[in-house]
Amino acid sequence: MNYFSDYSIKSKLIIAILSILIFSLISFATFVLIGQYNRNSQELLNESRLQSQLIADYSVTPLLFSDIAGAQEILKKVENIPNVNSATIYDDSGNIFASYARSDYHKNYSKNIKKFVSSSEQVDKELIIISPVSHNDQVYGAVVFHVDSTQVPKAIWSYAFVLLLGMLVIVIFSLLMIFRLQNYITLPIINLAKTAQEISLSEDYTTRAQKMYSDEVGHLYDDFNSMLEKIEQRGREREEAETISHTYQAHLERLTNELEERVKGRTVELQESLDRLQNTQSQLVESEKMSALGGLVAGVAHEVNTPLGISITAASIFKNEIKTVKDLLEENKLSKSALDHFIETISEADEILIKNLDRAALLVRNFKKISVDQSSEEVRDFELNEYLLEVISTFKNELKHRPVELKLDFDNQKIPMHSYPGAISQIVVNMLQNALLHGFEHDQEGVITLTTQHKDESVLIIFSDTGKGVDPDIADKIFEPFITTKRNKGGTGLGLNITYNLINQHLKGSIILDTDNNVGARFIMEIPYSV
Amino acid sequence: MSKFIFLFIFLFSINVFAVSETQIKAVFLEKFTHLIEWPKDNNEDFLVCILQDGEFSKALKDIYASKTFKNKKVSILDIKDKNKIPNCQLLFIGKETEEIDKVISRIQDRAILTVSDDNTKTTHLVMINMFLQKNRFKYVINNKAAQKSKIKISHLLLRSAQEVIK
Repeated sequence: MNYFSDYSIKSKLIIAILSILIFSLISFATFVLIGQYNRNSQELLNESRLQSQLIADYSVTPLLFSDIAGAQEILKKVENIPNVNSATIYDDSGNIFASYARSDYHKNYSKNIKKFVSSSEQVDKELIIISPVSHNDQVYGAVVFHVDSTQVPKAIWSYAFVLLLGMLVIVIFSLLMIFRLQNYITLPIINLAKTAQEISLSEDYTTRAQKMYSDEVGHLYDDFNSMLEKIEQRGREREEAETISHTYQAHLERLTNELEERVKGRTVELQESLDRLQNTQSQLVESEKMSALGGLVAGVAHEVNTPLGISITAASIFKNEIKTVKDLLEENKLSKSALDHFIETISEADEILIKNLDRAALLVRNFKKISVDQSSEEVRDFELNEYLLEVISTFKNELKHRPVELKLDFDNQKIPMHSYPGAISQIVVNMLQNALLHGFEHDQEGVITLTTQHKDESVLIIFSDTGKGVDPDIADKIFEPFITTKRNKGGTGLGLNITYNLINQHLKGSIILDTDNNVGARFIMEIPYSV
Repeated sequence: MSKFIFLFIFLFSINVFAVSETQIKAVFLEKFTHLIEWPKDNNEDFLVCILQDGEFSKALKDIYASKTFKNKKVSILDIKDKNKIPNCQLLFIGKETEEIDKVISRIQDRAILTVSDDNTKTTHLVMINMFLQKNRFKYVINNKAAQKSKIKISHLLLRSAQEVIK
């Protein structure tokens, strides 16, 4: 069937018509032949039966009068009946009375018969017909015919041969007709296909198929042509659209270029802005640093001021006592008791002086150390708890004037670090300043707790206070720069951002605002022991 | 039937040893009745009358002593007076009979089948005239006479007759 699918329309048409024709002819011939065969067989049977009955009729008197010669004479008539191989007349005992056989017939047949009823049966290639010889219900014998039935198929074969010849003639004639007529069907289709192929190759959609007839294929031509017209029109439209598209594209390109230029310009501007911003930010960071340092300096100055004032007082005691003793000496009124009093007073003053100067010196040393740390970015080894105590010592002054208590909850074990102490001190100062600035009103009582804890390879530093807590609106962006609720009260909004950057970038740690905390604010920092 | 054939063979064998023609004719006389129809009658027996032929009468009596003709018991009657023919179905007219034409004309309207075995004198007078010719049994039928007597002779018989007078 697949082979058939690829045949040309012409071949398909011819094959289809011929197949149907031949099939029809063969079917017709088969029916005719079968019918003819049956008819011939029946005819032969009927004719032979009639003949045998006739002979049986004639045989009544010969049998009646035992006239064998008469019977022979009657049987002679059989010669003229075609197809009868032999005819035998039996008497009423079933014995042969007279018989006849064609000269070329040598078949043995039964010598006796027992039944005297009319019957016929096919044995081999013979039709055996028995007709009783009777008159007025009296049976005198029987006539048996052996009829050659091979003539029927023979006749059918010759009939079939004639039919076949007829069919052949019909097929040849039909073939000629088909060859002539198929052009009316296939030619327009083939032409259309050819035109379609030419158009497909040349892409010349102005070509039109030349219609041949006004049948369905003719309509196909019309449709094909109208399709071509549409394609042509569409082609034109597409060309126009392409031209427009090209124009737009050029325009678009120009616009894009302009836009790119503009973006470039803007980018440069933005870059400049960003640079400026970064500068500003670093300036701000510096100023924040300075502000922290300034606070530190103020605290330290205040701290140092007290022992220095005491020292000055002690020194003025020295001056007064020395003047008193000098005056007494000049007046020679210096008594032993006065000198003893002088020495005692001087000693006390000296003790106070030395003690307070030592204290001042210690403060200065600490300040120096911290300020050096804050301004330097060196990594060194230190013990965290001890270092935190030193930092806090510089901050005590600020706490002094506030009803806020600073509680230290340090880990019992020492926390050796190899990190940036300056960064840590700046963070601690920032966090404490923030707590005081944002967590509590000026005269509000409260507690700030500074906790340290070992945790794996890091230390946890936790700042918590009992203050107002963090405004939920800014909780999630509290570490972003310029976030402050005290812009007009001296806050820069950089404190926590600097803290965040220091922890993340310098210390390689992390800081989070513990929002689950209900009271005040709680910041948890995790800083690795070693950077 | 077989018994007749048997007899026939027997008779022919007799013929070989000089079987009489009369005996053959006597056998075949009965055969004719197979193919002949009489108008209805009330006779219980089938009456065969023999006119002036003692030999034939004897042969018939020998063969058909206790046999039937047309399913009827056979009675064989010798007619002495040819002018007084009784109501028999079959009348065999012997060769010696004088004035056969007169006898025939007297009974021509009665349903009596007239048979003779003289092929010269009686041929055209009796209904069936049987004879042997070249050792073959033959007969001539006067169907005209039969029709006149309302006796129906089968076409089979007519067909095999040597001559049929219509």
